[in-house]
Amino acid sequence: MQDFFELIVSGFASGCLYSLMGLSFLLVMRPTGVVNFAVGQYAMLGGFAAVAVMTTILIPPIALPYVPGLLVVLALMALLGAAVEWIAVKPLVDRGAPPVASMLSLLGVLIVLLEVGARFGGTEALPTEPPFGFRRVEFGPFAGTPQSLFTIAVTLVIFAAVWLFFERTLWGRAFEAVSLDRRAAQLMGVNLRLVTVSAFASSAVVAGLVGVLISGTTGAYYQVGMALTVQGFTALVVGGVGRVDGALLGGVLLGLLEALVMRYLPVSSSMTLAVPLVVLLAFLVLRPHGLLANRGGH
Amino acid sequence: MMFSLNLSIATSTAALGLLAAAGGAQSQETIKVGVLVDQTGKTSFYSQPVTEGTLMAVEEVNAAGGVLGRQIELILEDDNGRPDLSATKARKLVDDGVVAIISNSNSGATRQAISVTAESLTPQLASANSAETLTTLDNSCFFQLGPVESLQVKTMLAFTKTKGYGKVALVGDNSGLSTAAVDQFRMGLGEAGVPIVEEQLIPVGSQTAVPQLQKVRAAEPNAIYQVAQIGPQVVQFFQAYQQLGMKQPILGTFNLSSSSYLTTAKGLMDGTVFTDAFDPEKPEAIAFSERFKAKFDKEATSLEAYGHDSVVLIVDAIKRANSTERPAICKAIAETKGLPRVMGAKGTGFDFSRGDRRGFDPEGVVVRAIENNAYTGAVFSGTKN
Amino acid sequence: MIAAPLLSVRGLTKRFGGLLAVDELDFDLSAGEVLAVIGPNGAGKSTTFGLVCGAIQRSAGEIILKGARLDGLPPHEVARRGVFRTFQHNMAFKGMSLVDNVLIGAHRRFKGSLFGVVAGFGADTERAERQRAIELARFVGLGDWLDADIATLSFGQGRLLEIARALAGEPKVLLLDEPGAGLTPSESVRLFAIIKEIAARGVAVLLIEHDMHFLMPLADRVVVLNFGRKIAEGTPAEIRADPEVVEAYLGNIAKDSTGAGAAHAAG
Repeated sequence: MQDFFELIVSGFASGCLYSLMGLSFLLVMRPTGVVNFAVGQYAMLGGFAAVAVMTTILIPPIALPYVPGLLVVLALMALLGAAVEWIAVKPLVDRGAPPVASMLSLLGVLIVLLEVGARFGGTEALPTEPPFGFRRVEFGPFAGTPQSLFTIAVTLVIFAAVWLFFERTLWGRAFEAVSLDRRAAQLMGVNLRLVTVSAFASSAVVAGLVGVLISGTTGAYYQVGMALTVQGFTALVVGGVGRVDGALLGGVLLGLLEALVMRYLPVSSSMTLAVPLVVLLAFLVLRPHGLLANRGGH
Repeated sequence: MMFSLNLSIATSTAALGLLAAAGGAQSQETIKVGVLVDQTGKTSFYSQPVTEGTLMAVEEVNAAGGVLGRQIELILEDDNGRPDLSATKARKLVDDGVVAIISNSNSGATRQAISVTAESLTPQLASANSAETLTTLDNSCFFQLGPVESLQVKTMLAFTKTKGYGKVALVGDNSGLSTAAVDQFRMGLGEAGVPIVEEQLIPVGSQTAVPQLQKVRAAEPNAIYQVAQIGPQVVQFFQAYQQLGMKQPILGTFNLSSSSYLTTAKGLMDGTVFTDAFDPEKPEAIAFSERFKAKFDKEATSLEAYGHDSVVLIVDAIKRANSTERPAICKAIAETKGLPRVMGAKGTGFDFSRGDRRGFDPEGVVVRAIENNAYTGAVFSGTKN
Repeated sequence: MIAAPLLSVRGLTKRFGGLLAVDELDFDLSAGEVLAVIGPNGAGKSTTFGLVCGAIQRSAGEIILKGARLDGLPPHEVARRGVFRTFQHNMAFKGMSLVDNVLIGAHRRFKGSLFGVVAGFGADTERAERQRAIELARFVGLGDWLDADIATLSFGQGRLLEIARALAGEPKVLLLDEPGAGLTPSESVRLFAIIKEIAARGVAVLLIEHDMHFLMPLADRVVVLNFGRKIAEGTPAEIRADPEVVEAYLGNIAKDSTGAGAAHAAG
């Protein structure tokens, strides 16, 4: 039983990272219909950016404490997200291209970001100082590390804030209106440009946050993006495409499932990353709308 | 970090060029030596520090008057760590008239360059590659200066025997480097008759190693061989180990000598031992570290020492051959025995007398420990116990 | 009509390739006035709507709202300046509650910036807007369906919802695209009264309508289009008497419209 309760905590913490990646997908997908597979590279760059501004490793003169450093990284990520939209998406949309054209150009962005990351950060895993350590902490039957609890707490706060924004504010409703019917929303005075740029910027911020969290646990690493992309997309499909609460549910379930499968099923541990792919396929075939049904829209 | 390295290599090269020009003006032509380095590719993180050591050693040799009264001129070629580029770059160096090529890139790139040095009979020195199969290629002028993978396994197993572990677990990641190491340790442990009660892989890209380490814990080994090589997975191993409150001794590989782990896995590795080809308490190493620190104002690692030793070997060979003809240098290198070097355990040096073109002394691998989040000196060395 | 016009359209032209969809169109619209645009299918009515609200870019001409040019502005800017429309086919945001749908219409008046909202400001304004959206829903007669799933509304209720949504933006000009189409007689009567009330509150109403019975007692003036050109303009009575209009479009409709129209007027 000890193993089980330890797994719950570590699976939940991993799952939170998948949820955030799913949210990063979702923020762009809802208003624009574009699936941006470059979000994993945002996470990679966010990690390196954290190393750059919080430690002396990449840019020696700059070493900010955690909170100001985090804010600087997130601001940089917002700029990156907006720039990506401006360079790779806007020109296509302006010419009336369908979302799939943007998805293809964003695949090009993926390659570019990967190269930029490898050039800037190198190919070694680089660390940031985690705000909390990895010593075992026990609470009731559960056991985890302060850092895993920090990850869980940050994730829950982010999801609560995003959910409140979408469900409880006029601006959030405007985003939702755009996702339901771009043309009608525009005719109601909703600025599509502002919504689209905000969507891309916030998506990059959320993925960049994942990168910062990971830089403190396992290090910023140039190859971290692909796995996170698969895991985040799976979280989204499992939970229900198009729903904020679905991304959280899907990511956490995936994290727990991965951990439990690895521990208790007689499969090779090298298959860990196959778990999300199998789950993804199963859901796409058997329950394409995910666990939580989509609420109307297209 | 990468930026500052790039910069220092660039400035060093410029300085060398000036020195070389000055030397050429007053006496004879320079002796050209080629360097294949990954400056911009995925393995630049170790290729660059190795090359920094090479540059420093050549500066020292030139400052002391050069060799045969001539200055050494290094010609750097960036092969980007790509096997498909390295042969072309090696050809370019040969055409430039180099007397030898120092290979500071990765094993794959080094292997492709071997075909070029074989046909042109150019001495090729692989400073730090640890691949087993490089010297099996038919090229009498190719020399491997670092220890091969199997040597660290032999040394670690010799160390293990002194501890008398009854059963062990083996944990790696799914990278090519690590799976090769897993295979070797499995084979070595099998030959030594030490049962492996659990074997686990931490896939590259996973966010936690808790499930894998739980399985290891459940199998109750006396010790754990940690042979993961990819940074994040190595760190996850140590995090999960701590999180699960495990106490078994951990035995690691060369990989753990990368000082970045002292930050990524800060405080998590105390008590871990690992194999290394560098003993900081060896007199040659102490002297090298002091010179390096004085020049660059930072701590030397084994990578710079590898690059430094290549120059030591080639200068010695040119002196003994009393010639800059390539075949003569080849012959002199192959006859090298007992030449002191920075790398390796105390009392070991370059030794090519076995005829296998591997110059690292078989007794030269050491075992070091991590205490208080810092590396100790050698606690064990060699393959005999 | 004596006051300076709120909305002026001058020489408005739209070409689609070689086709002249709207040709040198002029008309004025004053606050509180109901102006109907009629004409056969393909006469350019819907294109005119698209041009006025910015969804279609003009080929030539000017659209002026209170002395300021609207032409060339993107649709959300046109809406922000007070021009709102409803659609021929219901365009409610499915998946959002009825009140939220109405709230989207208030978007242009919502003062909080996106960053302010993210930072947690503007909660009071939002509460007030929500209350107002509920009042608007009641005004159009949807007070009993505030929490209903949009999908369960009838076609006519969907049309009323769109009107409430447009009103939430406090429009200066309201464009209604065939508001009477597809409604039951009782819904039609209700809609008639609502439009009258909207105009009475000073909103300029521009509407496209095919149903002459509905339109004639409602409109203050009528503009008739044929092949993109304005062929007549005047009061409903004048239009009914215009031989060219009768020839081109009205035909028999004009002759028996008086009786039915009176019923609407009474409603």
